[in-house]
Amino acid sequence: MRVGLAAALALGLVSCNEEVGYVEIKVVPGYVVPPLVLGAARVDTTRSTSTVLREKVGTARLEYERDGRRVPFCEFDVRKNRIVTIAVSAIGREPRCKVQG
Amino acid sequence: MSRQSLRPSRARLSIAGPVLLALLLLPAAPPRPAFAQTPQSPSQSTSKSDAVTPVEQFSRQLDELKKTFTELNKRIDSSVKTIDRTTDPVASRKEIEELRAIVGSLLGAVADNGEVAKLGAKALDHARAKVKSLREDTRYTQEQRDFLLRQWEKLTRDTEAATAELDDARTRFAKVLRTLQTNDDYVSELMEIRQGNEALKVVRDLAKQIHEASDMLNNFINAITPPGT
Repeated sequence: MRVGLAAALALGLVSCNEEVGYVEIKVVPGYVVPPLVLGAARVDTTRSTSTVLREKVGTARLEYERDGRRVPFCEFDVRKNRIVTIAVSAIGREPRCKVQG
Repeated sequence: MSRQSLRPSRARLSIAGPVLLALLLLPAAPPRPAFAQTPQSPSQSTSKSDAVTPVEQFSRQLDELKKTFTELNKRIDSSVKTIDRTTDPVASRKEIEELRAIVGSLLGAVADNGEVAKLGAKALDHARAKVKSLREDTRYTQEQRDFLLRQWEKLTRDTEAATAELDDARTRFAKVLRTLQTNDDYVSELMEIRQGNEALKVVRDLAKQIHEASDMLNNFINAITPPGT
């Protein structure tokens, strides 16, 4: 297990050559939001109130899933080796986002 | 050429100028009278081998002086480059970017979609699946099954704890990266102070070496100057 973790960490460090940034998705406490999707990653908002995802540099879109469909609701820039925080809340059934950083 | 790069070069020239001038003038200085008037005992003045010694000594001193000044010039050149580098604000920006890249790569490894997190989730899924399958497995005796179940349940708990630690690491790295980018200008100023200290050290070392070379030159000039002039 320890060897595996070290190998994965090394892999993570090697793969840092491609231009990536980081997206932190936070669900504002007290809000219940539908499942979220960023690129290929699904965000389990029920498991944790904060998720950090590695994302390619450029414009990214955060979507929510409803009735098997993906609905984009937030667009933001991901910059190289920087972190952008997306605070997700909701108005009625519709999720809303606030981009920080 | 920028003002910044001109300044150290001018400093180098102002230091190197007198040094080179002194070196150029050295062959013109008449060493002979100095040696002729150096107080000597009667036995020394008559010995042939002893008569060569002051010339050898002069030659050795001259070689040492040339060597010292050549080294000093090299040192001045390298110091100029070091100071140029340490006073360049682009260099401190680059250092912050490197630091951000290091923190970023660590955060990338522990991110929710990073390699370590995937590995942890995979290990946890496997442990949970084993517990589930063992509960339904009829191949083993009750004692054997209980033992295996206890082992896999413990493994599941430990893996859950390990992945929770990963969550902590993720939060910490995210915080560090955010701090770095929100305090970008301040961190840059701190980096420049650090570089300023490095430049100061270089200047101090150089001043000390120039002082030593100057003493050496002074001693040499004293040695070749006839007494009473």
